Amino acid sequence: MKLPFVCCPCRHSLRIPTLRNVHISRQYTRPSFAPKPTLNLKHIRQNPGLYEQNCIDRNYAPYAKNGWRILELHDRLVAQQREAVELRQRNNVLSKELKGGASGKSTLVDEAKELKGELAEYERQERVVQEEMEQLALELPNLSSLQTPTGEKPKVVGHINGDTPPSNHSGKSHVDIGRELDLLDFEASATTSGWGWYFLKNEAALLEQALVQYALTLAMRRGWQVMTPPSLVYSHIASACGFMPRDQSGETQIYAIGHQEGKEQKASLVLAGTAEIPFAGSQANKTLSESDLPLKIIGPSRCYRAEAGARGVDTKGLYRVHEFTKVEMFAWTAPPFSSTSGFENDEEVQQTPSEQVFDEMVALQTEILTSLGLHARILEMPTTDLGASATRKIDIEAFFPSRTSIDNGYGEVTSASVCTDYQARRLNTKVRFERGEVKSTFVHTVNGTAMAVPRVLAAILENGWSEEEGVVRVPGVLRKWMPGEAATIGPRKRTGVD
Amino acid sequence: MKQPFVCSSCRLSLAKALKDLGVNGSVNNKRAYTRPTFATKPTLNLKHIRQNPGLYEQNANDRNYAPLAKNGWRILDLHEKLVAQQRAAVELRQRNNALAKELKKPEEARVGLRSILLDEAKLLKGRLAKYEAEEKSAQEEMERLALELPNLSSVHTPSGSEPQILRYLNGDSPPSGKGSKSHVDIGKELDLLDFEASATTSGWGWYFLKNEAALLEQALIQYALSVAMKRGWKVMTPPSLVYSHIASACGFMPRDQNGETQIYNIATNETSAAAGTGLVLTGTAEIPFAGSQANKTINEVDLPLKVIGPSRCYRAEAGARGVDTKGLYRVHEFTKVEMFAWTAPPPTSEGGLDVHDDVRSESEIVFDEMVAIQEEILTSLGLHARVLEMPSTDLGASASRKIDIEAFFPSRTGIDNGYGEVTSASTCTDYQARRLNTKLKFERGEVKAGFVETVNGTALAVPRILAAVLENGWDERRGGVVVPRCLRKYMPEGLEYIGKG
Repeated sequence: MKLPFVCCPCRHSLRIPTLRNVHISRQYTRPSFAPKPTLNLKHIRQNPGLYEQNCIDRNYAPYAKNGWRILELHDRLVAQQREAVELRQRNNVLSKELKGGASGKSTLVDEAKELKGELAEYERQERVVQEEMEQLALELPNLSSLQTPTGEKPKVVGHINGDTPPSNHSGKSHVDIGRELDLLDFEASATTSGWGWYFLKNEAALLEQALVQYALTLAMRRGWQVMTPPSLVYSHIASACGFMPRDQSGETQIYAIGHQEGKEQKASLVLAGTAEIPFAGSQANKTLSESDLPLKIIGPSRCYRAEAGARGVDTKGLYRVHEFTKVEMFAWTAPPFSSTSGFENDEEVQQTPSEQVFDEMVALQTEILTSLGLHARILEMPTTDLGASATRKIDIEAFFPSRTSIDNGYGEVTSASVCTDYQARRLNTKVRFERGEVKSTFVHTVNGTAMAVPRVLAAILENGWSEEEGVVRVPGVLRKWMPGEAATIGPRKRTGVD
Repeated sequence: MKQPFVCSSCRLSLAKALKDLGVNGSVNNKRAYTRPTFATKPTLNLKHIRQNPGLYEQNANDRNYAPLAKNGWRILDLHEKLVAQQRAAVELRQRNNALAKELKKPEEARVGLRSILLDEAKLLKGRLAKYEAEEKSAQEEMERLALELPNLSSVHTPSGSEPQILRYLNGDSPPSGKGSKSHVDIGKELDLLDFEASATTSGWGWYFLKNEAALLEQALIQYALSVAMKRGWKVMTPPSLVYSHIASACGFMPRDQNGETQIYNIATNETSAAAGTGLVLTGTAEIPFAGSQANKTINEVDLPLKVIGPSRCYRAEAGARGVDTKGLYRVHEFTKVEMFAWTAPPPTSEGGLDVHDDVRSESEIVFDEMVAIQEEILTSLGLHARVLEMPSTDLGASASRKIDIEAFFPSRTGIDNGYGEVTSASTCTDYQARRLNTKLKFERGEVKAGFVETVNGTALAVPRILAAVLENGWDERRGGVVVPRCLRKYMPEGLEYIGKG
């Protein structure tokens, strides 16, 4: 069949990727003022098989050979550099002779010129090879921790509020509860914005405020500092944190801001799907003192996720939405003492600073969910679930009475990840210390959800629903933020007077 | 020269661009977004415009919308042409019917040859089709011209560009002895604000709030909600992303009357853009609130419907950088608590503009209540401010009347005596309701349904209030900021003072 003619502008806009041996570039273009990544190419060259296996374990098969290719390129580079050295030596000899006023000057000048040209070409090639190696290294996901199960199955490591789901529930979905009690409006949001948005009304809107306040209060008690970040960030910052325009399934997860006509724009902006991104970016190109670490912050922000390809069963409700409020924890820690790759921990008995903070995050998440009265299970996530930046991830899944047919009703409400130096190397965040010979190196970063409002709200509505009374019981810890410290949310009176 | 090949999709988009060149060949500065098929269909008061073209012309000039001043006259023109055409079409239809009757008759009774009659019928059909197409095109043009026109101005609104000072809050003149330390410096000293970090992550116009400043933001939101809730306002939290046609229907065009871009839009593919289903970031919760009642009919007994809610707001602020190169005074992203209300229109109004007596309309009552809430909040926060009746050039597209309140910023005494806008309240009569098709059902003599009126106002816009609280609360002797009393219960341990360390 004859292919339809596609004119040049259309061809350009269609951007048909030529899938052969050329990798599909998933990175954003990095503007000149962006932090320059410093990757551990040496470790990759010395362990290409490790990185290959890791890619396969993580479902990043297209990049499995990157380590080998880096090794190859490096060998080629070393050989080229040797050749260039010879040329340079000859060049030096020539310039000495030219200075000495030797005879046959013109032939010498010609040879010098030719050499100069050849050397310039070598330098250019060297640059190209360096960039190629950096690009290949940038595509590789982080290595996985020892605690991380290989494959697709998470491991249950604990429960909250009982070992099994509660049995005394009606299974009513939060969508129906929201309609009955005038708490949620999905129709209005369908009109204004389409699928995946919602209006919170009355007590639900107040519960959102209460949940944010509660999460901040608990974290502050444990010494976390509050910080409220922007929701719009440069795309290269998102990319450096491991958030690519397309994830490993080829889905678009990030909303990009359209080009502003007539406005001079330094670089493209995107909507952050988590405060992790602006938090991490806030220390880009910075060097922290060892005494500042661990630096632990927590803050609320509005998060945006395209959730492409994820609609499936969740056609309505708060379970999967495009926009929500989330309180996020982020920490910068010193790397473990002896590591150069961050992974030679076998001989260490103590926890690394990042592991300590990671455990603290999970403890805080556990405390919050426990006090909200929600039954949940704690999972050590497997390699296929880790994404690009995490070396280790623990998710907590709360029980949703209306979803017992999907995964026994369990749905993710929090996540915590250790990213070792993946983000720090890409954002150039360092720590300065005195440890033998090493004067400064990259920090480790850790992040975790303190409170993602929609799902926790949905869980509270469904678990707190009493079918006989037709009310939702408000968790005790939240009552001080509700009007009149009400213990329940009941039906609204339907008159014009209130 | 050989024409370059243009493939079919390019040809389509080119055709669309050509279509935008108006009827008389002048370039149409198309300011409205493409309206998708599922969007609300606006119902404009064309009759009122036709009957008062001079009023709309004057209004457009008063509001700095000069390019649109002749729209009313053009609508009148088009209408008259349309009426004449419709008359001509009526005659053609009559002739067409007569022909059809003739053709039905048996041959002997017929007047004229069959073939000639058929030819004439074909000709008439063609002409009628042409009339119908022209009629449709004229109506679309009239609607487009009417959509462009800004709302008419209230009798309270001064003409021109000078606001009128109505009253002051917390004293008749700015407080003395406040020093002039800017919130930026206070923020640096007390580790409350970080503009460097935000310059790295996002560029100019963003910021990180730290420690007590982040907590003050939460406290301000809680406080503002409580003030309105006490007066019976319902809390509602809206989305920040909406369809572009919803923003447009509320009066927020991709370019304002200075040609500046104020709205961030989400990058989308061509199909989406052509279908008009692209999304934009809202600069105010007014937009999703108004849109929440699009295509709805509300019962009169449910009005006035008054909601208040916090949302994250985004403004491109193009062309506005000027003096405000740093700080919270002009930013691209912020939290705002917004009030919105739907009210019943006054009884006799057709254009919603008939002035009568001292009886306030429902929207005027709600408008006054909004301003009262704003004044209560600012008074309790201890900020000196002035209340302004805004002039016609400041009203934008949708507002019929606007009151702004400007608080005093000790660090800005060189600009406008230190006063800077912190709240705004607007009454939009039926401008938004007609574009969003929000109606009410009632029984008033013969009229069974009509368009609601909408009113909106800022309860609290965090950055500027925060900046004002920091600057006005700064205690030079102690080197810290005194927390306003009304906020202390919302701060951890009832914090009264923000000091160093």
